[in-house]
Amino acid sequence: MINAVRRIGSVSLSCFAASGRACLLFIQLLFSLPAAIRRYELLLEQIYRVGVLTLPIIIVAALFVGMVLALQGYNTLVDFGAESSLGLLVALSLTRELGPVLAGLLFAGRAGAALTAEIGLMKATEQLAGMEMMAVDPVWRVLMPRFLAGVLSVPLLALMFTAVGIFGGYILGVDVLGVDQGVFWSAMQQGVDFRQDVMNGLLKSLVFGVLISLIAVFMGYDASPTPAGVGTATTLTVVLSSLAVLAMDFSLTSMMFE
Amino acid sequence: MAIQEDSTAIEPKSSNLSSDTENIVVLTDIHLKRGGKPVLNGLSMAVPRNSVTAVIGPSGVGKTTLLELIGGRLTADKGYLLVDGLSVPDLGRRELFTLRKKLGMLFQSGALLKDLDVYENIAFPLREHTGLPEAVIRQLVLLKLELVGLRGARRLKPAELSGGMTRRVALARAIVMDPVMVMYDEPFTGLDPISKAIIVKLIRQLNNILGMTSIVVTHDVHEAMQIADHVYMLAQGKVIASGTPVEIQSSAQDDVQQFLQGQPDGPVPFHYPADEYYSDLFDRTSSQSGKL
Repeated sequence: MINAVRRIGSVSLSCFAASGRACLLFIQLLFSLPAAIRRYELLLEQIYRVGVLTLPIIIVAALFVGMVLALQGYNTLVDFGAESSLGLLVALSLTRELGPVLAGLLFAGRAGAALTAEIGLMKATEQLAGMEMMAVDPVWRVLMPRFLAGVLSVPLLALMFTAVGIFGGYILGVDVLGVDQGVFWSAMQQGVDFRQDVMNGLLKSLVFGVLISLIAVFMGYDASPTPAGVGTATTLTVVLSSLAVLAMDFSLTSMMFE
Repeated sequence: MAIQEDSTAIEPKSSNLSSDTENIVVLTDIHLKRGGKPVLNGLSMAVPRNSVTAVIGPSGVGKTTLLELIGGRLTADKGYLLVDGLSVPDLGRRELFTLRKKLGMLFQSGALLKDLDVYENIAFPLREHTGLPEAVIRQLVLLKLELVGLRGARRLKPAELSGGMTRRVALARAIVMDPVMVMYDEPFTGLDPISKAIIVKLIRQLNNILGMTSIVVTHDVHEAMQIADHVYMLAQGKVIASGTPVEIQSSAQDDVQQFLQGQPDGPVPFHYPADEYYSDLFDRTSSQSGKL
């Protein structure tokens, strides 16, 4: 019993300590923002690696999600003779929730894990230590471009997810199920509010981008410099990022859409 | 220089903390614990300028830790550490990075950036710290590559290099900013005899040609004795002997001779400290519960 309490205490303390280190790293990252902007070519390279290379998975996933939404929505709405609202249903679901959340989860699984593994391996192979001894700060040279690239990429990916998802819903709803094209688009145009729905969705994805990118770079930087340590850190990145996205989504939704 | 057989007897050329022109590194009574265990235990030593100083001793004795302290990657629990007249533990981050620009370090693994080729690895510090035009960077990189004999390998990736080539590239990178001192962490480990001989030759030659100071941390006695002007031997976290290679080799100390001659048992015991063997073997309580 005492051992169990001791273990819980020990785990809690190490969680608090890790949270503290993550906060300190976040502050360091903020301070290195001007330097990162000056070296914009490093940022562009990372935007390509974490953003552009995540695009295929986002497009494919969004297409299927949009089609599933349209199919499920049509089957329910048609019972009430409300299939004319299909466009609105698809658009609201994607802009408010599914676009930011699923883009965040996919980004965490694809780019977040890759970032952690890359930084963790650089640590394990003494590349970060080597940089420090060359008087180059790894936080601004390695971590900051990756963090900032993640922060900027997730909202753009979420927008892309939403757009492609709506297109998927359109293909299925209009071309396959026979909903009128004009009705599909006009319901969407009338029901979707740019500030309330689109901007709030974008804001959500920005917060998710900060969370996922911070978790990913921190886990890599804080990883134990062994193969097992890097593996554990990569797994933790995916798990913690996903949970953080879902928890933060609930908090933001409750604040934004009261 | 007469051999010193006790760390307390070692006095740096200047115990004054303000400056020391003769010694580039001065460590005085350094204590450091890692994970609750003492690693350095009252270590004192001085590294003269423009010399090759070898730090030898068994694995796990704190040799690499010593380099991490000198480079400011670790801070001692107690003691004084001066590098080029500056007290390293008192330096702010910016000052520490300024000092590091004057130091080079060769890691055991090479620590090359894996996604850059040989040329870009060596150009890396120049690109980060200088605004030199590309043509000048090219000349400097080729100059250093020629010194280590790898000008023809400039477009190879680190994964395509052998262990010896990796060390030579790392060495070229360590000297590309013309440092006043280069620290070598186990530069001979895992190398074939030819590669070892090349690294030995390079360390000595570069030290003489570039007029810098070298600290070589190693447990390869033969190579250390070949190149060093001065040797420190560490054990139990402190200096147990120091002097010229000849003086160290003629030391009468048992622990020095055990290490030099590679004897498996002696002052450094073969067995890791444990309970008495037979009582451990036939301990009924542990045997029945299966506890280790």
